[in-house]
Amino acid sequence: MESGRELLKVDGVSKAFPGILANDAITFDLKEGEIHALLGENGAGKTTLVGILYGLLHPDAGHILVDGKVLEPGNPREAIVHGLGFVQQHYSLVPTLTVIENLILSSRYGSGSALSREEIERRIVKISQRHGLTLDRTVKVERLSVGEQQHVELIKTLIGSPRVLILDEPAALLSAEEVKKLWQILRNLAGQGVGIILIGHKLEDVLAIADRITVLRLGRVVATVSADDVNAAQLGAMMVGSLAAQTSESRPAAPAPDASTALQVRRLSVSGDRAPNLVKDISFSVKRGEVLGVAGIIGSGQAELLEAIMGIRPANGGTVLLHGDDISGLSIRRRRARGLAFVPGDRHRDGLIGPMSVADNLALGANGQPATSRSGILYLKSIETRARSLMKRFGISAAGTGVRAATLSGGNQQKLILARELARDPEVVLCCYPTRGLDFASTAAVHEELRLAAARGAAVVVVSIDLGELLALASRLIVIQAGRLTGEVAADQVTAAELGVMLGGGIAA
Amino acid sequence: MTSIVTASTARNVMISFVAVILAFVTAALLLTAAGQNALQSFAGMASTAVGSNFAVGTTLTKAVPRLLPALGVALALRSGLWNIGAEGQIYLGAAAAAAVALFGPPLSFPLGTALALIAAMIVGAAWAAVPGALRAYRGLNEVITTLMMVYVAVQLTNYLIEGPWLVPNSTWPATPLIPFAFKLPLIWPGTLVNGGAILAIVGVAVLAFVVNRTTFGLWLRAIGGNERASEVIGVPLRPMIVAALAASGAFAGLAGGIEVLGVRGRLLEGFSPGYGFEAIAIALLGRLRPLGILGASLLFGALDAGAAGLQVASVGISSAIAPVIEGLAVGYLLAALGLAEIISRRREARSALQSAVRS
Amino acid sequence: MDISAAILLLAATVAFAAPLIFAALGELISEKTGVINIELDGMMLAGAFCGVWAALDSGSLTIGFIGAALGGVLVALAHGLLCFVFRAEQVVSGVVLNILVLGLTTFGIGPIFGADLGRAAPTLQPISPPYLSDLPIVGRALFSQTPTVYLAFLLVPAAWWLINRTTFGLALQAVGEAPAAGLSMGIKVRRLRWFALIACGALAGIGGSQLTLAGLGTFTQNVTAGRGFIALAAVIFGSWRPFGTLLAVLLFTLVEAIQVRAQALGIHLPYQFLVMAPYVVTILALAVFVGRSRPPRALGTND
Repeated sequence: MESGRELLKVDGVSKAFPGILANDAITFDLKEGEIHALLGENGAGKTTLVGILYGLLHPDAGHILVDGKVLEPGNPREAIVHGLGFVQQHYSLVPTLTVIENLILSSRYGSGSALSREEIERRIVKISQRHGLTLDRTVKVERLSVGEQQHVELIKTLIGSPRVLILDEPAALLSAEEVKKLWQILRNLAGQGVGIILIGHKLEDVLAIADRITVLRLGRVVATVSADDVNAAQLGAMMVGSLAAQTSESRPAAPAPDASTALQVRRLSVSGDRAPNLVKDISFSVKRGEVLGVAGIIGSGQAELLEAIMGIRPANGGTVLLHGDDISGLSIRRRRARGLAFVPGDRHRDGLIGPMSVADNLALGANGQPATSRSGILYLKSIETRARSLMKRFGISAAGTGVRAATLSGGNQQKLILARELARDPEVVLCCYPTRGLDFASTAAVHEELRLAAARGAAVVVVSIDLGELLALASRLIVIQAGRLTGEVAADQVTAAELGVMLGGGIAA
Repeated sequence: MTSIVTASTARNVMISFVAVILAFVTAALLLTAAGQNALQSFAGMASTAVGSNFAVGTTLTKAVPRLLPALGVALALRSGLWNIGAEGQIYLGAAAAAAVALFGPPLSFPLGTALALIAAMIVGAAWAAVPGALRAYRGLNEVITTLMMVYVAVQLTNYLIEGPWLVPNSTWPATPLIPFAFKLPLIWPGTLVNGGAILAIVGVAVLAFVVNRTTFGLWLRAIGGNERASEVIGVPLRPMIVAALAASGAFAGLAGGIEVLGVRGRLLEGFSPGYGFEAIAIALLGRLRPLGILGASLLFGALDAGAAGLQVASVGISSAIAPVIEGLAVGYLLAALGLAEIISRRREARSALQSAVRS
Repeated sequence: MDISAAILLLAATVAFAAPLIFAALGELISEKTGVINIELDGMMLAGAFCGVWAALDSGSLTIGFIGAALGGVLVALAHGLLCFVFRAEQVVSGVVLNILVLGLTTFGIGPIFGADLGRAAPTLQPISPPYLSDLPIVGRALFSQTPTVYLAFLLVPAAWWLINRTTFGLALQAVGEAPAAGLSMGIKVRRLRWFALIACGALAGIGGSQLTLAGLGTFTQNVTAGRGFIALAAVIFGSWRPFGTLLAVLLFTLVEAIQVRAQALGIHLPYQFLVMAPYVVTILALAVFVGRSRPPRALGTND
């Protein structure tokens, strides 16, 4: 597989953004025929490094060498001309154009060599045969599944016969079958001498496929090791920073046996933005004081399910009952008044009003309580005091209640959203990926708040792709696959590995 | 919309001020290129704008029909909505006020006047609510619909003036004079300033209060800050969109009513030289803040009042120099805002790198 | 309505359509790359003004049209400067430029045209291509137009071909639908947007000059009277497709032609209702047909 010849070298690359040093003198190399994984948690600097490798960002210091020659920074076309090929996670194909149109565009503008349409078609056929990929060229990309889109991405990149292939979190959205297929293709390519850089944060994926692994943490390279010399636990420790024992906080308390049912969902069907029948016929219930975990890979419809329960997304069929009352026809506002709270998965787009102050954001959640307003007139003083006390209670650190919410860090923003939602002592709390993109401390804080909410009697539903998180929080778990509820299990009776199997063989062999 | 509304007041004022100065300088260059003496032109303008009590009164009177619609435009803009149709709402508001005064119950000031003005506000609000509903429930961009409604409104009003309401034997299409009892009284002896000026000042206070101290205003700002998130948080998005545009239209309608009841005394064809469109520039220049809008509308009112003096000082110069100055002022404002943002971003990035390298 | 009235109606519809077709096609190309031009009316107005100015000064119609295109391009450059460099919101910049252009062109009537108040610029005359204009009915209606009208109609299939059948057109679509993807493919997003914007300015300017150089040869205040906005509506109504846009334009100008020829057609409504008809139709058409199609996803964004 490896021939030992150095193909690409990242040499002392640094990049800073306002307030953060994203990459700090990063150095590693890639050999011919090698599969080299870059491993790191969210926030370790992978995205920035990817941007620099792709030529989309200018490094502040350092350079990238291909075959010993320095690559011109900030120029995607340069990179492609020098034999680099990129397979991105998102935003790499134009959805409204067909497969062949995308490929033509990428060939014409990517490398500047205007391959004729026939030549492109010829290469597509050759690549498809070699790797066993079948594709309808005349279909619009937006109609393809995530896995199929990735195949298009691959073909698009391979048309240019790259010598280095860089993949950003390729397995993140794939099913186990699709991941196996992808590894096969990669091994194939490595066998032909292509050097492959894999960027990700899933330990199991990485150990399964990589020859060498470079671990990043907080913008720096921690170590570069051979995959044979290390196990998952050691890698995890390098990523997180210490050989900390598994977090064994108090096991999530099950609800009182006589607790009443707070939320009941009956045969709910919901359409997604692109798929008309994303969530099919789901029924479940949650008791007061219970934390229900919803497991499933992204795109299975969990987020849409919660949005439908909250009233943000219309349901195609089924009912939602709160304490036995049918709330299916109520507006979002009315559902909130009845005691539903919602923590959205995308906090920037759906969760906060960025340009508004912290105090005003918190006031929005008050839903007209006497403390903050009466008959439409705001009580500015009490909004201010309420904001201050909420900031204290939830540990939101900001320069004051008047700062704009957009200036807060991710962790503080999430705490702000939680504060807004939980301050009213809601009956039901619906959370989507509540700790996405947060560091360790913020994650722990969020988990604590959710536990407290349950302890106060709320029914909490948490959607997450992090099995560890679900097991730490929930007393009961349901599994959603392809829009259907396929399993239900008590949290203390299952391990992460078993849960992964329930998810359809989630962990790649 | 965050580029339009920023926190620091002193900086806001300064940026707008600089933009206005630059606009005047550019206008001076244009005037010179057109063969005029710029200073002479400006001096002529100043004399009929601020040169006497009467001049100041004229400025105030001409500021009112700009101030009120601008307040309305700003209100809508705080929620991210564009009311380009203020001009049409002004015309229909004027028509409504005239209708009440000419054909309604025989009342007098203050009751009759108030009734007529309320009718003006209601009609203005209704006219703006239509594009509002189209935006809220059909997703139709309100820029185009509010503008189309202007042409419809102007034609409707023209039809009323030239048709059923026409006073025969007039040199310019107009309705009969409204009964004197309905008129807004003059409040500054020696000038033509009418009670509408007080209403306009009240309007400034109302905008400030509504935007900052009511739930309606909170929701308005939330929608303007992040429409989707505000809906998720429970703000009644669609009714608010309609309400915001309706409120905006009410301000404009009121301006139309004041023109009829306080300034002209009748409904005159083409009485508005584009107040509704200038209002947009005024709202932007005033950074959507009530006091800023007050200042900008006084400026634009002064430019309008100065037109007479300009004609005297520089023959053959069209008073269209005023909209030129206005357009330039906002254009420079946008450039200044953009420049400020570019500079602050570079500064932030540089300091981040420095502090990171140090550590 | 008899045949001759119908013919005249059709001829008027086609003639009125030309300025709108130029402007709407320009806007279509621009919106395909994600740039919206509220100041389209201003571009047309600048074109109408500069066209007359250039034609009067040089005595040549060709120079006049070049001047018209340049006028529109100037406005486009200002819009690009405000939006791409100073990062203003496209709608804001558009509204402001409209005010500015209207003011400048009105102001400019005195200084530029004042001395020539009696003179008119050379104007286009209708030409009738040999065989086509001899066709019964259709010949007189459609083929006795000024040359730029034919050009306008020919531009529609040309635009279709450019957008849908060339790689360049694919790139334009990519920029407006998924600029991030386009960027990663190596497409120079910013550069293409500038190109589309300038093309829009040139086309809109020529469209505006249709109102003057193919009309009376003089510039009057606000000669466009909001036609730019009807062109904007036509793009939406036409689902961002060249032929759809053409149909939308023809619908609006048919209504306008009916208004102009109302007497001859035996329509006895007060004329104001006829004048407002195109605008009412626009609103109704948008209200009914919007939501059937989606605009380019990146429309209005500057990055």
